[in-house]
Amino acid sequence: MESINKGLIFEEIGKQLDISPTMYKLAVERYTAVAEYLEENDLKAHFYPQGSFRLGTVTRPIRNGIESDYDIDLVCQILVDKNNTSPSTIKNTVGNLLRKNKRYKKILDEEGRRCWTLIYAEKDGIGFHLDILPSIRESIEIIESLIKEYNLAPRYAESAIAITNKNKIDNLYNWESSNPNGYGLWFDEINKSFYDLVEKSTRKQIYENNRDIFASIDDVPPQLIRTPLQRVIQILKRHRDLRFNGHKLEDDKPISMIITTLVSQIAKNENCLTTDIFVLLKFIALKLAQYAILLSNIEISQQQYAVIKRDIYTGKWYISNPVNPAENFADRWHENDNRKAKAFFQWVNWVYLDLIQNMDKPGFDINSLKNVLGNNVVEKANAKYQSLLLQHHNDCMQSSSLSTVNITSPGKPWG
Amino acid sequence: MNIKEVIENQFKELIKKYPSFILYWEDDIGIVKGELNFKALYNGVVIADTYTIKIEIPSTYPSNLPMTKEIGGRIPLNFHRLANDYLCLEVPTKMKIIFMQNPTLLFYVEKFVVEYLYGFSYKEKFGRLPYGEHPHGNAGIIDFYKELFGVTDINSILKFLKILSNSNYRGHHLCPCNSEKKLRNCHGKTIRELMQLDIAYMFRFDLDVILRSKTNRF
Ligand SMILES: [Zn+2]
Repeated sequence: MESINKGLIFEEIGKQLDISPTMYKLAVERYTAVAEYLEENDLKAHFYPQGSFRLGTVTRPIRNGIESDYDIDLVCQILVDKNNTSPSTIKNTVGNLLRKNKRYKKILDEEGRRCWTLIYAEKDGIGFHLDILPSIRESIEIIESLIKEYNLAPRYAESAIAITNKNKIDNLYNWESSNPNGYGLWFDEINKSFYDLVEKSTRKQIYENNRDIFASIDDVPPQLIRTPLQRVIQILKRHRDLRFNGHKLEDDKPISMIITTLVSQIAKNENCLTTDIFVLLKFIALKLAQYAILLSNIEISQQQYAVIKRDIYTGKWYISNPVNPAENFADRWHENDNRKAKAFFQWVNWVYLDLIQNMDKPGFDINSLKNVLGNNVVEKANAKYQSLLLQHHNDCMQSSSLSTVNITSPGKPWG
Repeated sequence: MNIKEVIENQFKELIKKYPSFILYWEDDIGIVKGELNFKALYNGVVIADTYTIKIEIPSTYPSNLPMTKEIGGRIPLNFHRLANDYLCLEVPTKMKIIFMQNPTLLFYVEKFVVEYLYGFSYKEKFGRLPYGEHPHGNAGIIDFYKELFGVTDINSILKFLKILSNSNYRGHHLCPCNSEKKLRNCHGKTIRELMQLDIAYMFRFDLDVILRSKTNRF
């Protein structure tokens, strides 16, 4: 009886959603070039990636139902004291430098609320949107209040930054607080136990499949090694993108930050460990589904470690930013009769039906994932999966007793 | 190393061979849940099968053994089970004696769980169990001690269990097996080895169970 290895299918699907090692290298080259250009023009700053590129949860975006360019977020943290500058200076220093360069001027998008975006069209049709986020170190007062008033661990608080926000109505700039590096550190700490489990075998696999770009196994950067936790986040993000595409709740679909935070928070609270992506997804989806009761019953006892909370009196929802407890990712969930909350739990239910129940039933057909994870992606992943099965089958023929348990002096069931 | 780390390390060894498991914690109890995909061989018959199981590992592990449930709904309630649906893999004292040779999760799974599930799959296929079964309840416990000591007389078993439950070994006494030899020249080695396992409480428990069933019977 050959049962389908669901974890392996998800691994292959995850690889299709991910950025390839070649594209990763290209993306790093692109943003390093921008950083070097800005530094050469006397901008004193640190440059580091944030968001899914930093977290290792890059998922090929869907725009209007079709797969499109990768989003890469780069923090440009300018080395100047918050007291000696202003948000408009910070934002426009970067913008002006980019416009001064002929190449960048051509690919610079119109000014965003917080970022400058360079749009790279690469040769094989897949491009990048490089979002450059001008910022500075957060003020000492705010960092200290995060530690003292919100009990945030200093190792997170210290990397808080101030980012700029351009108001749509009056075009004035103001500061906002953010902490992409602290969030990355928080995520890495949770991801570590999974990373340690899969690092060796994954590194070897990446090397063997990309000998043209890596000189040795050690040459494979840790940023390319994906854990089951990262794969689960990638799959959930893609499932969200497709499930809400064209749906009446599309504008209320859960943001990536919420998905990433909840999945990681559950893994952290439960201290769970596995190498199987399907098993982890199932575990986390069932935990998330338990919170759906908050839609109808606010007064249900909410434990200290609940990842989604509701205020008994106001009905407001809370999903706090783990590195900025003052920030609530769900601050608008109660609006319009809890529309965003309903969209979230509708999605959790879809995850359960499309990915768990569907895949657990006997006779599960891999093609049934095409609607919810993408035609192309599932097609390619399935081809890879089939060839792996064939290879595995051949390996087993050579050493047929490899994993057989030899029962020699059996016990007897009792009771 | 604390017990959580011990269990985590043993879990890592387990998933190298059986990857579809997840480890998490319910209070202090370690839970190992997932699909056990095995291939096992007994007397020339290879069976490959998959069961969904949940193993609960107590905070007193490895002194106390894990307990296992089949949660995929394949094994009917009337097949060897304890209260709360736990699978009865073996007589507990026997399990403990065997487990202490190699107290790891991988060994537990392969020695007890795979053997048990192989037995069930075999029965589904061929209509009978491959390696017999202990009778339910006390008769099963007595059965085990008959095998362990190689005796048939229940009074001999009771005398052996008294020695073991009190850790009261006297080599010059007559051996309880009716051989007319001194204990040290007869079952002495077996008894001393069992005493080294430091599980007098388990022998006392079995002794009580057998004594109670005797009073009930007569
Ligand atoms: Zn004797």
